[in-house]
Formats: sequence, structure tokens, C-alpha cells
Amino acid sequence: MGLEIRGVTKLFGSKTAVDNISFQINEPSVVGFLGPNGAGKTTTMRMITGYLTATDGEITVNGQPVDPTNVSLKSKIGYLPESNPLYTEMEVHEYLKFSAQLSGLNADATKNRLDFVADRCGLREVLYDPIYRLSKGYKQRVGLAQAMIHDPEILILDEPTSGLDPNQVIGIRELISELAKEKFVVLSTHILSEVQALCNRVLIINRGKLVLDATAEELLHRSTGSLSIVVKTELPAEKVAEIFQKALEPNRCSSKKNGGAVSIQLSLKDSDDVREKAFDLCVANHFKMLGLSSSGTDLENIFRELTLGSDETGQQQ
Amino acid sequence: MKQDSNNSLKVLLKKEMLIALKTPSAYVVIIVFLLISGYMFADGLFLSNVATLRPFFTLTGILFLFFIPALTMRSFSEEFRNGTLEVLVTHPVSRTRLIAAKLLSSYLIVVASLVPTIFYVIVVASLGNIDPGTAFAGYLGLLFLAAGYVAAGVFASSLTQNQVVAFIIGLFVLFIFFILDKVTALTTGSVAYILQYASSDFHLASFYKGAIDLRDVVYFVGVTAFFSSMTSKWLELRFK
Repeated sequence: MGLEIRGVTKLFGSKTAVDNISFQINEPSVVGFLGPNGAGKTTTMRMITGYLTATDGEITVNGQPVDPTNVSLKSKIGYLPESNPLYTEMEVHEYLKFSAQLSGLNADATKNRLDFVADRCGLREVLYDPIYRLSKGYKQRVGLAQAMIHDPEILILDEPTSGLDPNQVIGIRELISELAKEKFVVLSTHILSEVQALCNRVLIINRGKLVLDATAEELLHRSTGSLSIVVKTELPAEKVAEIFQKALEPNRCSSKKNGGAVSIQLSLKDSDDVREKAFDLCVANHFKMLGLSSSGTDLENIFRELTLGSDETGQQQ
Repeated sequence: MKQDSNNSLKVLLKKEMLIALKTPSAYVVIIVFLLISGYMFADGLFLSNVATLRPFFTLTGILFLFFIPALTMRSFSEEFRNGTLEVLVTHPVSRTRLIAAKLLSSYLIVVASLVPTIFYVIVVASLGNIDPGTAFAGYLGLLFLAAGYVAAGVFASSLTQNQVVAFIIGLFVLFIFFILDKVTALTTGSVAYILQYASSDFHLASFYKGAIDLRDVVYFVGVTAFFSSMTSKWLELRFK
């Protein structure tokens, strides 16, 4: 059992969408796929599902290569595309039955699985409604139900919680966590807290390249704490940022003027505790400290560093 | 729990028919087809005062140029536009069955819309003597013609996500097939012969004259197969 992506590259004309990506998933888990818009997440997911063919490299599921012609392999994969396309003329139960039967389920299995997904995705009350009449949240749940109705081993979910209200988001996250006890789940999202809440492993992709592949524990150790300080001073924000940059040497330092106050955001190297130094620095420069708060490991920082950082070097090249 | 998805064609066809029956466009197209053919049939019948089905078959051959692309225009275009093809092709279903379901569903609708026209046969038969064999051959010709036209229409639909563009491409392609034997006067010898053989109207005409010729059957089967394989090839390229 497993999903393996080996040196996969995808070109659209001369544009490289995905550039030599490799990773393996060997045990049931939730793998979070992160990246800025246009980084290549959806393209990679589409290649895993067999919708697109890789220009180079190989994708295998249980050792079998994914290929548009390898029809039987597709029943092992459940897919929720990003735009959640649905046959809106159909009623919810008609659509889900269609998907189940097309995946090769017989009448009994279809009925059982329809019951299961209707309960788990909260679709009972809309089962006989035409899809076009549903709210966005319900449509998203229909899409998710479609992806899992045939009980696939691998679930590829492109932004599964988009358009849901906070209660529904929690419900879907619980469902995904439970599914991940026995299934391979690959999901993409823009919501970083979702990754922290859900994923055992995080892959960050930027400009088609895999820039981070780390387990949840590794991420905790890969500390890039952040510190936010608000001071009262007459100095311009840039000057204040310069002083902090020089004294504390953080990875990134940004500042913003807010009336008579300047707020400074520092993302720090390692797990340095620079709070005392920051206080002394304020005293020495006659800044009146109005606030200081620190947050430990923050995926948002890692994400910004990896994606914005390479963006800047990219522009310099 | 899982069975071989050999019935995927049946499942796909059921879905196509379900959606066709739930959208008003198919009904509108069928009703317009029947109104026009009914009006032209009645008009022609009483003007010429001859009890013959030949004008009906000629006219239907022309109406099919518009009617069939209007029916097939949404088949792939709509799937592209809504993105539903992405869901469809990530199911365990082969491209051949996908296309076959599209062809069959449109074809069934064309056949269904021909059923009410049997009324015209009854009207003509009540007014004079018609040869049942000729009537049968004429209908058989229309069925063969429809198969070729549906395949061309579905191909046109696979080229674009815009239904109107799909309709225009379909109409254009069919019109070329229709017109070929009308321009033979401009050419001579073997070119004229080839143009004539390539013309859909020429082969339909030999059916409604009462002859069921293997050459005509081969022609329509060939056209259907040609456009179906073009659709398959095009979809293959699209997912590269």
C-alpha cells in the first residue's frame, strides 16, 4: 500500500507547472499540501488522480503506475476537485448513486455507502433536493461525499473546507481525521490552522518545487518563533525596523506606523528568546513599550519564509 | 463489494438521459423540430397534392443539419464548462465508453423525436397508396444519417466549452457534407464522383428512393466511426 511520486514534472507548453517533485506516503495519514496560488498544487493533485499526465517522472499507487488508461486503478482514488464541479440538474442521491455505480459498486453496496456518506457528510435532509438548489456549504459536502462514496484507499481533496461555515469546517475536519485512520488523505488548503489541526505531514510547494517536506513533529522543532512589539516613538517606522534588525538580527522584520505608535513584527531564527533584549533595546532608544507578545512555532512564518523568500530570490535572478 | 464496472456504459447512459430529461433545451429543440417538419410536411403535401413521403425525407435530412448540432452541442461543452469532466474521467471509465454514452444518448433523443413523424406516414397512407418498403427504407436512411450527424455533432462539442460555438462548428461540418453533391456540376469525372460519394444527402436519397444499398450503409457507418475516433483522439490530446 502506498502512494509514490518520483521526479514528477509537468510542463504546459514552455511553462513549468511542477518541477521534479518527489514524495512518498506509506501509511494512512493526512498529508497537507500548501503553497501560494499557482504554485502547482492542483496540477500535482490532478496528476495523482490521472486527470493529467506527467511530462516526466512516475506516480504509482500500490506499485501500479497511474496512467489515464489504467482504468481499474481509478476506483482506488477518490477526488474532490478544487472548483467542486457537480451535475447541478441531478438530485443529491442521484448524483451520489451515479458516482458509486460508475466506480463499480453493486446495488447493495451503493445503498450502504449512500447511507454512510449521507450521515457522515450531513446530507440526509437534502438527499432528494436538486443540487442547484443547495447552498455552497451543502454543495461542498456533496462533492466530498462523492469523493468517498466508493470507499477509496486514497483521497485527494483540493481545498475540502472552502465555503463552509466554522461549524461545518470542524465537522469535516473530524471526518477527515477519522478517515485518515485507514486511508491516505492528501489535501490542499490555504488555511494554515487547518494544516496544524489536521495534518500528520506538511508539504509546501512553491513555483512548482517542493520546498518543505516535514512531519508535524519536525515542524514543531523547526522553530521560527515570532515576536510582535508595539512602541510609542516619534521615529518613522522604517527607522525603528532598522534598529531592531541591527540589534536582534531576526529572519524578517516588518514595521507599520499606527498613529503615534509603531508595531514591529519579527520572525526569529531558532528558538531564541529575545524578549529581554527587545525590552532593553526599547529603553536604550527611549521607545515606550506598549505591548509585546510572542508566539512560538508558527506555520505561517515557515510558509511565508519559504514561499516569499524564494519569490524574492526568484525575482533577483 | 466491488464488481467489475462492465455496466459503466449503462450507468453513463442513464446519467446522460436523466440530465437530458431534466433540462428544457432538449424538449425545446424537439418541439421546434416537430413544428417545422409538421408545417413543411403539411404545406408540401397540400400544395403538390401528391401522396408521397419523399419531400418529408428530403426536408428532414435538411432539418437534421440544424436539429442534431443543437441537440449535441452541450454534450462535451457543458462538461468542460462546468468542470464535471474532471470528476467523470477520474472515475474508472474508459474514454470509449464515455464517448459511446454521449453518442447513444443524443441518438436516442433523435430517434424519439422521429417517432411522432410516423403520423405523417399514416396521413399520406390514408390519402393514397404508399409503398411500405420505401417508407421503411427512408426511415432507415434517416437513422443512418442521424448516427453520422450525431457523431459529427459530438465531435464539434468536444472542441470547445462554448455551446454556441459547438453548434456553429457542427452545423458548418454537416453543411459541407450536405452540399458536396450539389457542387458536382462545377467538376467532372472522378472528382465529381468522389464528391458525390462523400455527400450525405446523396446517400440519404438512395435510401428514400427505396434502395437499401450496402455502399450507403458503409458510408454512414464510416462517417460515424470517423467522427467518433476523432473525438477520442482529441480528448486524448486534451488530457496530455
